[in-house]
Amino acid sequence: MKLVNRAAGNWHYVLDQTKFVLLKKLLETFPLIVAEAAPPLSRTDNNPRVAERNHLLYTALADHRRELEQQAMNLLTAEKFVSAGEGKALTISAQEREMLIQVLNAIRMGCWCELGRPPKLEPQSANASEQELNAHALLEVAGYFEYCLIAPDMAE
Amino acid sequence: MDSASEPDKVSKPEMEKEARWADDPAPAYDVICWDDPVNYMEVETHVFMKIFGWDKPTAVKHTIEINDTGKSVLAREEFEQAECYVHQLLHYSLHATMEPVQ
Repeated sequence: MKLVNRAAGNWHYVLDQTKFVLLKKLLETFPLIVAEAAPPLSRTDNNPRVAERNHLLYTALADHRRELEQQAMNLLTAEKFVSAGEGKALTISAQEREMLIQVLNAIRMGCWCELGRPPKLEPQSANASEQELNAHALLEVAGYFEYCLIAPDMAE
Repeated sequence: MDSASEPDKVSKPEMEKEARWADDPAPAYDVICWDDPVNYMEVETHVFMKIFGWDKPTAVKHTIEINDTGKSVLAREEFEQAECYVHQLLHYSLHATMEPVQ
């Protein structure tokens, strides 16, 4: 996936058919994790107020995840991807771009949780299960698209 | 005006402020982002620029600190604002918490 240009607050990308299918399948896996997978609000504060606010945090994150899921589905169904040569062109607003970054990073986090939250993302061993291999693959593919979205910012 | 009256003029608001804080303490919280093996440094930098409005060098400085030391204090705020920042960081799945300032 490649950024073609950025104009009038919109970001224009092109991607070949294979990448389009990958991105579509990736977005359809969201959400992989529940809100409770997030860390608690505080590691050290024993104030009862913080415990109460943890509940609100997880509720808010669950709501946010539902919104993201809806927006991700809109991205797939609202004819955002238009044919361009042998691939697709995608035009998204800055807000949609941020949504996509959040979705992709949540997928990566979900894969990591599925792998048992290892301290390091070591390459999978030869006897890894199919589920582990799938999680590693999803994590890498989501990382690829995330990097495509963010790399132009880092180059500036 | 003699110079001896100056300290009174300066110190009175300070005393009032101290008294107010003693009655109604608003503890400060550090908003901390912790290292994890999932998030790319580029993503962390992007998110910090987005949420805190920082320029790229400032955001990169915090990202490198996370990578080198395991965490970075991004802001020191009262409870509600710190909580708001943590929520925003968690929307991007960064590993953020708020810790009371000792």
